[in-house]
Amino acid sequence: MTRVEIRGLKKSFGPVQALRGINLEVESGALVALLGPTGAGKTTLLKCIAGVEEPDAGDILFDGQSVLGTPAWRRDVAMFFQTYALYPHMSVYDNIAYPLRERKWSRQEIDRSVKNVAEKLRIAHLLDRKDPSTLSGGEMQRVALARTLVRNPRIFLLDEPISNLDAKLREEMRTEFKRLHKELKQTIIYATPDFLEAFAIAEKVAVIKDGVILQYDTPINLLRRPKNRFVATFIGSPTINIMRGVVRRMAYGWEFSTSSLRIQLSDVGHYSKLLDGSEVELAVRPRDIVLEGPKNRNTFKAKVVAAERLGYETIVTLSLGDVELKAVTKGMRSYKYGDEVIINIPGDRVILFDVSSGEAMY
Amino acid sequence: MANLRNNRRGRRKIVKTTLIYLSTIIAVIFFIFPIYWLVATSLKTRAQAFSTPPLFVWEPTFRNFIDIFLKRQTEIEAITGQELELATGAEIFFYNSFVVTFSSIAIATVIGVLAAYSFSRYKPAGTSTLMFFILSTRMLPAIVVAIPIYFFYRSLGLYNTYIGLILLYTMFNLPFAVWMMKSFFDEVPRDIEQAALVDGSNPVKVFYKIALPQVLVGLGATIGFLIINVWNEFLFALLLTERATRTVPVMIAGTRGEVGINWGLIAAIETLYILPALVLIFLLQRFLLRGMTFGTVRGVK
Amino acid sequence: MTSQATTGSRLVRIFPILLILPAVALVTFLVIFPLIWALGLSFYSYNVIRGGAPIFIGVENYYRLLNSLDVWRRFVLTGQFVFYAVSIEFLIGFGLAHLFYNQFRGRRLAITLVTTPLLVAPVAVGIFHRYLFDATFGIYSYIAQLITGQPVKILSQYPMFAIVFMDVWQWSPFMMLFILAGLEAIPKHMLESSEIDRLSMLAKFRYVIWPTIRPLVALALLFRTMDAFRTFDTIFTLTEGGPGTATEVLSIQIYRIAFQFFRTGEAAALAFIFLVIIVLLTNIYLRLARRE
Repeated sequence: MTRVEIRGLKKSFGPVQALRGINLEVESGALVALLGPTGAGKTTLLKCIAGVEEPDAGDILFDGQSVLGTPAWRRDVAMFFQTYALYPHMSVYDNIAYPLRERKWSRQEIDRSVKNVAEKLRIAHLLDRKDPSTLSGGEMQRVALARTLVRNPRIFLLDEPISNLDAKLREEMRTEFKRLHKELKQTIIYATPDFLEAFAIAEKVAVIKDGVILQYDTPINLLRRPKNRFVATFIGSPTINIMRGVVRRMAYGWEFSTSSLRIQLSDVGHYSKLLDGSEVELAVRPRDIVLEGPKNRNTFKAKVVAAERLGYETIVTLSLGDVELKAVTKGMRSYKYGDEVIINIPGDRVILFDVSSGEAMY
Repeated sequence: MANLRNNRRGRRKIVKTTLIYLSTIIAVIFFIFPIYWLVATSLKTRAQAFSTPPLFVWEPTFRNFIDIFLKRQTEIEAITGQELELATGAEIFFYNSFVVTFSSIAIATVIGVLAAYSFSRYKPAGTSTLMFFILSTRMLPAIVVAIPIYFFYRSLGLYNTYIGLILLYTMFNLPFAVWMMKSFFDEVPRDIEQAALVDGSNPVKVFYKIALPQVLVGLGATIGFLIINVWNEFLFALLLTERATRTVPVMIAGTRGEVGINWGLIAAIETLYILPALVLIFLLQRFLLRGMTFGTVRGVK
Repeated sequence: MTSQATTGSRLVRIFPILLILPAVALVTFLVIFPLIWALGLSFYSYNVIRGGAPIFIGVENYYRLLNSLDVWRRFVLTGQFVFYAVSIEFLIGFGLAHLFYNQFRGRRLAITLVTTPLLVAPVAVGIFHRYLFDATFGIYSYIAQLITGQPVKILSQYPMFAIVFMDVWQWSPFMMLFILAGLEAIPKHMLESSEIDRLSMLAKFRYVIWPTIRPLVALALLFRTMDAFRTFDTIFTLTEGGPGTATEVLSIQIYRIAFQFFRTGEAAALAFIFLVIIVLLTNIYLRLARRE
């Protein structure tokens, strides 16, 4: 149970700035996800915490004490590497036992722990395999995971631990991680490029891009109150709809308008930064758009451009004058190209972004 | 019509295959013939070796190989122009070559592997400058350093000693060992070593428990090339050795073309001398290009 | 914990340097130091046999060497040898590489056999070619006689041919390896699409093959030129620079001045001129290769 604090962490590789001032606090025993696209700096951040990369500036504290002076091999963290990093010259058993042997555990203890974790990850039958490079991708991943989970470190760092598994196994592993975390009650930092995975597993998610943490929040806040356009578009599928227009102060409140539609915004008192007549971007999640609901102030006629039937739901692409929107509706609905539908855009579910900075305007 | 075209294509393919095999045979004969002729001559008697026109069919004799190591001292002395210690045959030269090769390679490998690992992993300040400098010693003509080293060795008492020659060969092969091994270490994924660090191994352990086992094949290839390099070296051996430390190439080069020398015996000595190369060419084939370019060109499939 | 931590990070800091130290020490002792010493010596008149203290004569060694007709002849001779040897090796290597670019049974073995000369000791090559070229019982002379119908004394009549032939025999496979590596680096789909587009052989070579193998060809030429320029062992053992001075290339000349006439200062000066040429050649080559 260790509390991790990261303060102003910077790291460059030559001209490339991988981390540009990361601040992050992970409560003791929490499971936090690092969510970001490839090249965002997730791996570098984890490696800095593990101690295998040395940051250029900033500090890393475990339980309030700086660990920068502690080399990796004494830091007592366990890390899963995205590349698996299995030791090619060792058997599967020896790979998993390696961290325990380096800690001078007794033979029996090692054997018990290795078999235990192998059982849990369903790779017990692979323990005798001599050459890990002959394993399948999914097997390698589980062996690497076993090597990470076999001991009881202060912190677990997991770098995309299930990204290469097939969909079914991935789903199982997600549940497995939640259970594991409940059992171990350990601090876990979990990097992933998949927001669904992050949301499914973590209590708090840090969205990272270009070496900066854009937002560190609960899943629901990331979804409903993203701090900027990147967070809004990176999270959610299908991607959030964004249209550009002008906001005006009306008698009843704010109104957003493009050349082809006007949306009345329900002013819940937080549009304090808005200037009358300024250009903004309005974002609305496809799932918030209501198809063929009761008429209200924000009801529009739209034409169907395309429909993807996904079983439990249908994604409909609509055209509304010069804007194109995606909406999601429940069930298998058959729409044809050119059908006219009535949609409601809920004025209390939209998010406004500053055009130039991309910051949300609350 | 289609049949005709197929026929024509088939015929063209046969012609192409024939051409390929024909050219290959000619090429192989051209490059292998001198070596074949060398080995063949070593199996000829003195008279057979001198026959004109050259003898293509004869009854092979191993006499020459026996003579190398038996007490044919005066003849060896006459052939090689070397005075020999007491009653020895040519084995003394092989012994010298072996001692010098083995010792210098052992040292060069250890020092070179350590430096290569450091350059590859830690890239300490000045790495690229140092690496370039080390590479540039490959371009350095031996004769340029030969002059000062000759006088150093004379004044330091290293002349005509094993240790002097070993030191020199260690130095001349160090650049190769460093570059070659660096190219192999560069191929070991960093993540593997970082995983070991996180798993609790300190850098020293990571080096010998994780990194080194990954490059064993490369290490073997590197040592193979080092053997060839040292075994084949001539100029410094010529300048810095005398009776006690003469190596095989100096002895062979001493065979001046006096009339009546026993070419069969010389060929036998040479055959023994190039034997390591003939064995190693098969083992090193995969790494040949890499070895000859200091690891900068990774080679042919 | 704190003291442990510091020893840990100290290890991280010192470890890489400790690993390099022996290598640097040895290189300094046996390359840098001698080179500086030799450079100094090249400004002195010094003869080991005559003995006595070296006399400082400034650049006179250099002046004398660069004005010596004999030295210039050596330069020309060495240049000829390098040019003939390297260009023939390139042509043969190029042909062999294209031959072995085809897949056929026994290809691997053929490549191994063809590349065997690369590892054979130069001294053995030199001495044995003396036997092969021998005017009375050498098989090459015999073949030459069969072709021309009269006895040929290759070593005394065509010494330049002999040393070039020997070098070509040993080093053509080296060129072949480079060019073959280049050919194998050509993406398969590019060759296939050039077939589909029915490019002429010439166009295929110019637009598909050449751009890929060019850097390797440049590197191969660089290596071969440098090495041919320095050739000592093989020529020394085959001809000793003779007959007369017909094959006395620069490295043999330096050897003679230094270790047969013991005009040490002069030899050091010539060695440095030699070194400068090599460094210049390397740079020109590298620049050309980079610009391409």
